[in-house]
Amino acid sequence: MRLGRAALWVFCGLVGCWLVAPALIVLPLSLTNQASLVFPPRGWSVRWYANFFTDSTWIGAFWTSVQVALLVTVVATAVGTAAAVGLTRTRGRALLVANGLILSPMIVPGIVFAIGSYATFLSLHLVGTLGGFVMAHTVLALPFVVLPVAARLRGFDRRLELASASLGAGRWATFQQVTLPLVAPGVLAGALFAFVTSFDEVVVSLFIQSPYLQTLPVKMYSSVSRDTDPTIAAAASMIIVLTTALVLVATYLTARRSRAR
Amino acid sequence: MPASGAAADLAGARALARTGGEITLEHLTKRYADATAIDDVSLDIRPGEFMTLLGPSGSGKTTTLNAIAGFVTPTSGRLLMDGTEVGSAVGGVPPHRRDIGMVFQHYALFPHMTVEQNIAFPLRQRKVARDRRAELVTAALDTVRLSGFGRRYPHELSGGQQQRVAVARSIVYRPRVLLMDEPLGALDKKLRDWLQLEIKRIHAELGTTFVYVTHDQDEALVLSDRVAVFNGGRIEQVGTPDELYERPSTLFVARFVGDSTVLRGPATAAGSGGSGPGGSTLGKCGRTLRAPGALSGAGALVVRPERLSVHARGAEPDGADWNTLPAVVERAIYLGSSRKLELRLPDGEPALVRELAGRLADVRPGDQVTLAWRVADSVLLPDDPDVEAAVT
Repeated sequence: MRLGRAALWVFCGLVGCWLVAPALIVLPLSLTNQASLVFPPRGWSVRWYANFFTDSTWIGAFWTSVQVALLVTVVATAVGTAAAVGLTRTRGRALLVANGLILSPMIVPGIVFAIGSYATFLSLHLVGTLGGFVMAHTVLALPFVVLPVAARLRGFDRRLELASASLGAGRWATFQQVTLPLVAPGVLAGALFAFVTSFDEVVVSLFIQSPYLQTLPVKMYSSVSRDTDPTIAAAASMIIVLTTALVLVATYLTARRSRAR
Repeated sequence: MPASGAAADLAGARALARTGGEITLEHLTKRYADATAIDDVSLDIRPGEFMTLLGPSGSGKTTTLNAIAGFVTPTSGRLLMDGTEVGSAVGGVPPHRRDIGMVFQHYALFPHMTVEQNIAFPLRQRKVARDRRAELVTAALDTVRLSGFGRRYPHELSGGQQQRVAVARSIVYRPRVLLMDEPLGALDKKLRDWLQLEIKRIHAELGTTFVYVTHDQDEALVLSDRVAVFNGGRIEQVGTPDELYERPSTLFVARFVGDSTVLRGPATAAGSGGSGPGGSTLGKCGRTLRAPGALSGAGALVVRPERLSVHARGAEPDGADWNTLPAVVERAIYLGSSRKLELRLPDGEPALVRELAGRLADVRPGDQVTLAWRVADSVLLPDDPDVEAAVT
């Protein structure tokens, strides 16, 4: 019995390491003083971080990613929240069809989606444009907004909307002042997922990039296949820190909101 | 700001107050795919009146209330407020423009807002200035006796306090009509009794028209100016509480409102061998009982428990205006201010007597007694074989 428990703990520990090791190994890699990716590093330096911030292709790709991800966050959160509201008020066949369509980007293989986007964007002259990136990433991010918002809406007491109407609030006022504040944790979670989805998207981005407009993951991919200098590890480390920080902030905000109730 | 100022302000507002709205339902019907919720309901609710829609669950009372609120679009018929059509099969004025207030059974307070913010919500929709809003919120909290609770969140309040906040929220903008959907249904008995009186006091203070839905007949009798009794999607009777109690027009109303003894038997109207002009007779347990009103066919003679008296055999009152029946006492339930006697008639049917303290007959379970009542204290109605199923 005791032995079984100990074995279970060891097994869970191993699974945990297995899950985070690839991410954590990047941190020491990025701090090497060597010009190649060696683990464990023999000497320490922040020169690859300096390189990241001074090389215009790296910092340019970083800002492109931030810009795209922020725009995707805004658009996907607005559209996804509206879609979730619609879905939770629909029944029958229409619901099945709409649900399937909205969630399809999670099911369709990324490479298929990428080729389709590339072909369409070519004829529309959207390849290598900010608008193209935002459009493609928004579609990919949409399910990650719809799911948490819809989950939150299903737990929402619709009688509050009747009460609001009886008190003189129209549909839009009710949505703004009653429904939205109460599903805000779901919207916040959705917004965060949307940002992260866009920020680390690579397959579609590889197809619709141009030499003049690259996102950070695209730059990292092309850098690894050309010259394997540890700047890529520095970039990866910063992505890890950024996304982890975002998740922690969102978790904290969500917890604080539910306590206030 | 001082509460007295707010109270004076509210008094001023009252002086200017518009009276309650008038509501007219004309042949209102609501059908769903598989059922008819309300069927040809017509009702006039007078300005400032406390009207209760009373009935068992599924009788159509809540659907009627929701039609008045605008949450339900009728299949046919019209709804008028102060003579203006606000609802019909083609739609109508949306709920938020109907100048109504509504109190729900489960309070429906906004959980993310404080008590003050909840009460200020309808004022914000009406673009009331911030200062004025604060005054009105303070006055409304005074009215429901919750001053000092403004900064709390709903989940920090008890059920009774939450419902009083809901009432404050629905009266703060002085709607002309206040709709209440079983507002006391989720509260315990003691709190319910107290809040009933509070609601009655607030109604008297405001002059607003109240439309109140309940399945609790005691509550309906305590609160209402008039009661509409619903059964199976239709209105059985509209009347003041004492009209419903003393002169029920259907057996359903007699059974649903208050306790009663129902004596079923073949009725024969006067002129065909009856008791006197305008009267009827009813055959029961081998006797011929006298009954007011002319009716022939399957009859049900209804007598309220405090109108029945119990006597030792041979000591019962006699005369043309009295009826008597033999019975056996089964149970005596002492209630302090009164005593309830459950009796059994020779044909096995039950009878119920309520005696006031100080006037108790000297009987105990097992005694053979005689039941007596004045003919004028009974009501003869057509029998309705489905009534027992409908009442419960």
